[in-house]
Amino acid sequence: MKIQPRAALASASIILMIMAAAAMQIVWLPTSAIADPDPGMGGGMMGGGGGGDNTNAEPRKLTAAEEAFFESKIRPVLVQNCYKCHSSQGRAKAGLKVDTRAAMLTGGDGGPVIVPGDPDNSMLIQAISYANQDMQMPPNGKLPDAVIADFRAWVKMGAPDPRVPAGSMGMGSDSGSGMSSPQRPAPTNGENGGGIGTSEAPTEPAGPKSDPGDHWAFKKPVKPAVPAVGSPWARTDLDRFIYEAMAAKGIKPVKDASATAMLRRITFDLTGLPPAPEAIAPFEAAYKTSPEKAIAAEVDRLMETPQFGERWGRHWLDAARYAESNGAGPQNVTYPHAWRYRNYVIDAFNAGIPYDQFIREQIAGDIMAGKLTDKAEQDRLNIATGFLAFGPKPLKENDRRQFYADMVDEQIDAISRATFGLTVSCARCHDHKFDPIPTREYYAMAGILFSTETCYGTVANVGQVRRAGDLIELKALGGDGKQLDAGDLAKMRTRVAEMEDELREANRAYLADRDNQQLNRQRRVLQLQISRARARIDEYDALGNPLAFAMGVREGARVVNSPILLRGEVDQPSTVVARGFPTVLGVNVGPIPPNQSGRLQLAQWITSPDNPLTARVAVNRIWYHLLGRGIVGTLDNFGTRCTPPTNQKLLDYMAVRFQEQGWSVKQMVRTIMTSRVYGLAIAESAEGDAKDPDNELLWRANRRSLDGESLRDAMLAAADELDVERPGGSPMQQIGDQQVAGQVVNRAEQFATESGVRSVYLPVLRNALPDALDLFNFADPDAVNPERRDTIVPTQALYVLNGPLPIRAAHGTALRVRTATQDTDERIRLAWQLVLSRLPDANELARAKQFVVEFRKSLDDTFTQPQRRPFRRPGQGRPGRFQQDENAMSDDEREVETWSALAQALFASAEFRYLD
Amino acid sequence: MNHNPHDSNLFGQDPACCSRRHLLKAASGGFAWLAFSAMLAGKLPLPSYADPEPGAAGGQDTIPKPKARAKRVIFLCMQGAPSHVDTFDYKPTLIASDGKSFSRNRGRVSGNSKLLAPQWKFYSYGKSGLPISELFPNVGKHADKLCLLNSMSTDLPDHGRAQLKLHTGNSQFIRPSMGAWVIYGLGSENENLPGYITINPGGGSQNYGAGFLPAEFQGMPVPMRGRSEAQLRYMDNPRLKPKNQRVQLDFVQDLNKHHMQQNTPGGDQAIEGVIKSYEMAFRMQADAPKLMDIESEPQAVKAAYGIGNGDTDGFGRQCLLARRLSEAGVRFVEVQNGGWDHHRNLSDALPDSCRKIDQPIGALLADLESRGLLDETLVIWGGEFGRTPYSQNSNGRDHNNKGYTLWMAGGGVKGGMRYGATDEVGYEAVENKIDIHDVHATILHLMGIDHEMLTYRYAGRDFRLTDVFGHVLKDIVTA
Repeated sequence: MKIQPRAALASASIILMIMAAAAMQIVWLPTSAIADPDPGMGGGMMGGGGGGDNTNAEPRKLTAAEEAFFESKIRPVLVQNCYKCHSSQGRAKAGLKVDTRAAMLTGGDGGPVIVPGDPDNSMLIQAISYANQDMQMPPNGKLPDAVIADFRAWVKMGAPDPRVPAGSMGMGSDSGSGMSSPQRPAPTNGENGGGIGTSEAPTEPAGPKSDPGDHWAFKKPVKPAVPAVGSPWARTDLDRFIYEAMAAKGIKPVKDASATAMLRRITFDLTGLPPAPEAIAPFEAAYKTSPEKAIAAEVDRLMETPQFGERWGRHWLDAARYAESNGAGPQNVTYPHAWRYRNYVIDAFNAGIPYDQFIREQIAGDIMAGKLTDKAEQDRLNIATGFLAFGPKPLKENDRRQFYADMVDEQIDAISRATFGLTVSCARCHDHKFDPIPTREYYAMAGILFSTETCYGTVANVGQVRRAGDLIELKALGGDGKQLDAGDLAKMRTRVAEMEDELREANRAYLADRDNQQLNRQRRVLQLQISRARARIDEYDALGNPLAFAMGVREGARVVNSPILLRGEVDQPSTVVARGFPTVLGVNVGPIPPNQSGRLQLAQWITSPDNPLTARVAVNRIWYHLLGRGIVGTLDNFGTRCTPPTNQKLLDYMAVRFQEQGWSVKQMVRTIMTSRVYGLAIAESAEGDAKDPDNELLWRANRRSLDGESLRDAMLAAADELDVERPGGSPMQQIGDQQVAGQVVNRAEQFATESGVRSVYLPVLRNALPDALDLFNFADPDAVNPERRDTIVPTQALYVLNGPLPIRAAHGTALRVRTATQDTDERIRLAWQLVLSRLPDANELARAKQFVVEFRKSLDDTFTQPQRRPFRRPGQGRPGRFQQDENAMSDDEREVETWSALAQALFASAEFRYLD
Repeated sequence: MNHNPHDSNLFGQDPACCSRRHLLKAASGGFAWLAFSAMLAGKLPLPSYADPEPGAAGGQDTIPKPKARAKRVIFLCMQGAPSHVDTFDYKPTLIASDGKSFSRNRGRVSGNSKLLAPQWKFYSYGKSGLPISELFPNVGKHADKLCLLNSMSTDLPDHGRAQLKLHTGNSQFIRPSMGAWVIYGLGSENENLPGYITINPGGGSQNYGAGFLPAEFQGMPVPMRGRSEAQLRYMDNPRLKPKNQRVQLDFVQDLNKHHMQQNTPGGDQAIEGVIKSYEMAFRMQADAPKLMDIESEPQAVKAAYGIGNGDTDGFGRQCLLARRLSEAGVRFVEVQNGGWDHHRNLSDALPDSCRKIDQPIGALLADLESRGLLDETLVIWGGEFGRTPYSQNSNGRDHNNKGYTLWMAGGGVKGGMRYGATDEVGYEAVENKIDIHDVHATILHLMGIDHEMLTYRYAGRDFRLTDVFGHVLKDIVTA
């Protein structure tokens, strides 16, 4: 049998490819001949054998560095300079092939050409170094010295080479070098060259390094047996998996967190807010009696507050790249209706909508709504599809095809990384480099979205927008505008018609005098006015009733299959492919009906119980939000390039359980939060530090930084200036369709500083986030970004020390503390409770008292008493304004400033910024 | 929380004291510790690590150390991958081959690719006669200072990961960025400013992150954020004086140290990072506002950078700011400029992009030279990869990681030279191939650091910026 993997690829069926790869695997296995290389040939094994043995005694995974080294420095040189004569595809001159590691170790007529670990005794190195007059390769010219040095380094490393597929992913570096593997089957096919050569030689070495279809994450998780270890430490099944992994390394978990740390952790994790001061003492008492019960009760209570959805909805909004503007420079225009989706998400988490349904709603809500009669529910489902609509788009693109191709690409990227954790859009221009996703499957998925109409609004000519879109009209909800009568509407229409006439005139004038910028400006202003006026008319129905809109999608006018666009170029259409899904995950949801886009089937495909990824990706993120790191570190990529799971059994257990429990996010959150591992302290352990310095096994808690939202909300909460009610809409709704620049940016910033709304309701403008979020590592909404980074930079400190919001909140906290009591100690205790959710210890109390005295003294030293000079002299500032002498401060103000400085100091503390 | 009633003398410790143990533990190997010890002492003679204590690096007490030629780096980072064949990689064959099919059958190059000749002339500039595109007339004036690295290549033709690779040497794992490594090795020249500042950063914080290095080494971003100018805000308190803030900050730091003592007496990178970031913030209040205020520059200087002119205003401001920060002792300044991803409309978009940066860069080089700073300031220009010699969308170029160009100037680099070469059409580096590790090794070398010796122990092994790779490009270094 001659196996041609390239043909298999082209034949569209990944299944076929996997079969081919499996067959090739047999072909590619090292032959027993290499078990005993003739030591007399080619410089023999003297000296070098040892090094080779050591590096190759066990089949092992290539490190990323080794693989990168091989791929960047070795393989291209081999392909370019050697394959022509020494490969299965080429002529195998002198019996030598260098297109697999095994072949190199077997060698040709002259014996092995590499001795792993020993470049000096490797014939390959001698040949390319031109050391031997009779054997100089490549024959037409010596390779550059740097390349030869690379080869030496590579052989020295043990010649790591991913080209031999072994049993599983990442086992590329085969044991080959003389360590025979008797348990391996001998090659069954004498014609072993064919498969290898066809995959390697003619093109760039993109051939499979080992079968990516074997990747663990592409197989459905099976619920592993719960290890019978860990008692009495383990509280839940999750703990037993954790304990087992720790025990295997000889590490013990540290102690449990204190009651105050625990309450703060739980409250922020569930609500994004600090605990209420009055909740602290009861929890401490309950925790003393039974930590388990105290935690469970608090978790249950907080999970039913509306703040739960605001917190956990925000996590999803990170993954969904939610934003209220388009981004991308001059195309960065507002999305005035995007906020409805934000509220939909928050409500969905609060209502406990099963995660699979939640995903389906966002991809096919409009189709699901079709059968319903409940208008409010229809609206809700339509709003859900906003997920597909608020991505960044090339709104000023001239070429229509290009625009759609780019928009669909962005949608594919968002869907695949946000929900099932694969980077499908890598396959837009070429087959995916690492995952088994051929380009044709990308275009199979693209066809679904090309058959969909995306309604993202925007107004032509605002901020260079050329490609304005429609919006989804809501049914149950009315708009916020005022009622018009038929006369008003008619007037507006007449005005548009007039302006259109004016524009025609202006265009004519401009065409006659193209250098006249004045004329050009005139017609541009008119264009903008017309599109704005039209947009305003569109906000009403025929009777003048204001309408409400959402961003979203609906089925397109035509159902189309997409051609493959060669290299992703819109003017290079090739074979047309039927709409469909990546096949590597082995999920079958039946055919896509010819009259439907296939979004409904896509939604079902993603959330099918057979999909090996969706549940894993979901529970991994929940875990990340609660423990500070994902079991798989790459939260949006579970492909072959994901970071390996630190505890796959635990991940799989949770993934299966998540589905068994009806995809309930709340249940999974509860399960994790009531585990013992969640409640560990941040503490040191000599053995933990030594054996697992990265804390991959979670023998202690990770110190997690609060995100910008929590910091802002907590500051406002301390000042009692946080408004926990949901505000209506968004400031962007009031601002309307505008380019994001100047005033729009300033208003968003001002809103963040001056309003008391929860941070989840602040406007999320691409490339113009409010500082309170931006400086503290808000998820970049340009793309799927489920992870919050942790940076510690002076600009953050400057914001806390000098920014208007922290100053305002510190001031509010000071007033609150000062009003509550006259007693300094009591004031300090209250400030500590309001900001840090605990009482100060004796040292802290003493130090704080010292601070109050010292700070007041420093004010007395630096400020004068205010003089009676309330008005500016003529010519200095506006008349009538009270003049503030910046060097003067009244006694009363000094008192307030002192307490304000204390509150602000607590805001600035590391303890406030982190969850312990 | 377990409060220790016996730690009443906790407060009032030396600020460095709490972290020393941890630092010792974290950085016990090789020169890492020396860099740290110098930092802890607050002052770092240059080059700091070049005088190892005997035996400090496991007996390697006679390591030859590179001479420090550059004290500072200004990295002009072009996001989106500028076309090399249209700018700094002169390819006569490509110019003569417009429309010819490109038949090399490899990887992404399939189907009917047609070569696309540069639409702009190349001129010989300077005494060296370096060929540079007419798109860069002002940079061209400095040809005799430029070293064109024409044989760059990188792993992946994907912006995000290639940018990561460019900045950190690794596209897969979270690793410290080169700026972080540099200030980890050399410390800061100005204790009132962060050693590493990145102006208008794009592409994620990992590109200027500290990775596993202590948080204080990460780059401090000076963002644009929907404004016309990169700014640092919140530089002074509307009411309090620095003297008051100092009292406040002393209190904060005592609380921080106390907190760390409670849970992690061995030290904690996060808390130490917060402590250091506040101290830096406080010190910055004194100097940074003046430095950030480019309006104080003479009108002639501003005009030279193109400030006030629509096209060049933005990048001109950033370059001038970079010069001011660098002059003030910020060791590593990066300036980012986006919009180079010219898949389409190359004939209009590329000149636009070049126009925005040409005059500012020319002015920057001239300004550094006239101030006598160019010799000790390494200026680097380039993107994450290059673009294909064949066309995409008829008037555009696709990503090309196989061959592209970076250039360096000043800071101990030979001028007026091209190093390495791509093939005859500029597709693939073929002569003296350079990868990112080589660039990193060379940058460190120019700064007086042996890239194999600058290590940090993390998770049980000594890490380097260059991992196990990197060759210093000795041929481009001045004697």
